Amino acid sequence: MLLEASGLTKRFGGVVAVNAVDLAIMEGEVFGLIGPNGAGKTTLINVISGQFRADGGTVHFAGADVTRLRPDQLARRGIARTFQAIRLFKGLTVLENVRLGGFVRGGSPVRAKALLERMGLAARANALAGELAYGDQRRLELARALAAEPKLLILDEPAAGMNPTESAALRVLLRSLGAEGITTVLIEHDVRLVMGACDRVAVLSFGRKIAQGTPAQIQGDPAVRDAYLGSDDDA
Amino acid sequence: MRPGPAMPARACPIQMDQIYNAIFIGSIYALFALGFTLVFSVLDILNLAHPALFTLGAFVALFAMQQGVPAALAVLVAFLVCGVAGVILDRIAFAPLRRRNAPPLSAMISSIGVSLIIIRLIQLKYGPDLQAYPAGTLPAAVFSVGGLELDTLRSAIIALAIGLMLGLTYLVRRTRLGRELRALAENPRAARILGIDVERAIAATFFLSAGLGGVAGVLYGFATNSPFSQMGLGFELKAFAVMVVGGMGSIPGAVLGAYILSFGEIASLTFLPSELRDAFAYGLLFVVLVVRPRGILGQRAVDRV
Amino acid sequence: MDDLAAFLAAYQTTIGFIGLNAMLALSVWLTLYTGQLTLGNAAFAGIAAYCSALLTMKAGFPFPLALACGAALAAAVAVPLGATVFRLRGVYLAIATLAFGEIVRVAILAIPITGRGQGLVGIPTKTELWHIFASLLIIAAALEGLRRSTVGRAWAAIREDEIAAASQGIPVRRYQLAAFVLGALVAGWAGGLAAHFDFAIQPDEFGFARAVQILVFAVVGGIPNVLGPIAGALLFTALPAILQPLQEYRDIFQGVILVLVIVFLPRGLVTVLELHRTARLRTIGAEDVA
Repeated sequence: MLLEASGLTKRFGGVVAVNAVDLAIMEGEVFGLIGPNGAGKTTLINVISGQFRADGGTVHFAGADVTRLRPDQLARRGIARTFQAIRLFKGLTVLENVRLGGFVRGGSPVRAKALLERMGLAARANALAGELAYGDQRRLELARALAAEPKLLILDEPAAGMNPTESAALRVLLRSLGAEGITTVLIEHDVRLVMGACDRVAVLSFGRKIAQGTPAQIQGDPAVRDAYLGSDDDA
Repeated sequence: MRPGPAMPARACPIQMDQIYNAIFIGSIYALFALGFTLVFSVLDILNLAHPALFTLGAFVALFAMQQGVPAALAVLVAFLVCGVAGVILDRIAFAPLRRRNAPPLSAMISSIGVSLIIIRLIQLKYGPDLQAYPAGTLPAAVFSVGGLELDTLRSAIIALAIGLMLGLTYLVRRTRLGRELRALAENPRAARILGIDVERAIAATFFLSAGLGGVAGVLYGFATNSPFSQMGLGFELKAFAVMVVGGMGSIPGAVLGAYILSFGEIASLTFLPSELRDAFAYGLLFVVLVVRPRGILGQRAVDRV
Repeated sequence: MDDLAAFLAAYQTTIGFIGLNAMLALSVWLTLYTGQLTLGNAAFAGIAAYCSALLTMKAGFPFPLALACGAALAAAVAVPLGATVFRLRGVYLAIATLAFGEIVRVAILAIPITGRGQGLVGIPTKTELWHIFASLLIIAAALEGLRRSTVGRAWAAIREDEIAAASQGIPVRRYQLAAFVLGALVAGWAGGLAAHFDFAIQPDEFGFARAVQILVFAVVGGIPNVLGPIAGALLFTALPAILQPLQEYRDIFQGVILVLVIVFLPRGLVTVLELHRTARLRTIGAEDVA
């Protein structure tokens, strides 16, 4: 088990955004986190990745208690993430962004360029990150996260705004990450992506985990359908 | 007219006239800090030109009174002139930055630029030395209440300051403008979506903030009868102590912090020489920053990711 | 050569101050480069000025050692000050450094050995122009080198987006503190040189007005590289010396230019050398930071 969250809770004022959630992420798997808007998915990963402080519960990574660590400390331990609203260094170039992604590994331009090649962004290496098209920006954020050579990759809606071709490519990439020793946790609304890329899926609703299992098991689960109010959430 | 609030350094516990002084100076701190806090709570920026508006108020009143305007009216004139100056300040120095979502750092620097201009203009007209309001224009009457000697001037100042604070509280809690300001402070994007005329609300914020700052300046000028072009700097630091103690962005916090500071200063005079009276404020500021930066009533800022 | 010597002699003070102001501007630039505002660097210079002057005057320290001690003291004071506020939002740094500046000024006025309000007189005038410009050259080269290194890139990332920077493993607070303390060190070195340049120093030389001045140098000059603050210092130190009759209005000019620059060319005048990049940044709404 690479990442274990036990009883994780986060409150904002009177609202309990994340309510005693347990997660156990295995090495090498692609783990999906789904649920209706406002279910607490982003808040949960914000707590795991150190942006928010947990009000209760613990997070263990590779056996060590990392509950109280800061984001940069977690990054040094091998956790990388992307953000729901893209947080690129807009005024810096594409190449500089990826080099900074590799900060914990020295920030070498050679490795950064190789990563850009892999993500199909090599041609735009000297463009400013803010000048890229939306889909390219998403890919850049992913490249930046990969530059850290993380053990755990947390992606918050990586396919948002992507067209079907781009999300198919993303699906292929995600499946190959496991082979490279990278574990992935993925928040997504794109059903095809979740079903096609994930080994297991957990469903959050109103801050609680209401279901967990393989994509097929989740699709058939009536509780999950109820949580989405019976509507199919296609991206 | 006494040159300044009387601050006898006594060895015995706090006396009634010390309490009176603390209320008096605390009321002015509060008025001044409220202006800072209003802008900070609604716009998340520290308007470093606020002390210049404070100074401007004192000098606008001076100018008016030199033309024969009575003191009470001069206060109103200062309020209006500074209020308008505040709106202009926003249009020139802040609004363009808002439009392109510039970081707060830019607004602070911009406000420093405006402050330089205002203070220098005042200095060019009046010089850097202490001024005085025209003789006989300020009330000098003294009266007794239960063995305590009070003077009309400071009592009037306390009454006006508290009146303005109550007025601001009413405005923020009970009027539509107040609701709009609170909505803006909480969530600017939502406020826009809800149909609030954001620019108009911001203009009102600056009008009030600068107006109150200007009035604080006049009142302090009256109290010391020695307005001078650098009077804003020392007060600015007191205001920072007030805001940090009370909680940045909290209006009731500003009032609370103001009186905590003023009472603390008076109390500290029992063991500190008067030259180091200001040191109490700085000390308090840093102690709070280390121990409890959010102050008494402040919110811890949570960054949504 | 004679003409040059005559020129240098006549304008010695101004030329010296260009160099000193350039170093002070660079010290503020360091913190600005990470996206924060400090108003305390004049005070750091003041601490070092008094410290080094007293060391040469009363303790017979050799000049270079006194300078080093002064700068070290300034940096040492910067550490707890910065550590207190860098865990908080940026506005607190502005407030804390402003307050710190006043505290230093009040302290100088209160401590008898500094000569209080009268200032410190009789300081050996050991600083020569070549000391100033050699220091400037070394400091500028070192800072530019730092800027182009991993550290500088991390600083730029912090300036762009602190949260994203942290998520890439950059220890944001530590790097901001490093820039701040390094800035204090540079300001301190300049302060020590300044103290021994003219035979007297006064507390007012290191007060709020001075802090604002050096901020103007750095901001108006520009933040993309070390050339900006140096250019800003040159412009604002040399110009008033030339335009003597307009001395009275110097503050107004500085204020107006500061606002104009922040509103229209936020990364500073030096960016006119790279207008194309500035235009691109403006298109994507990143013209304030990068």
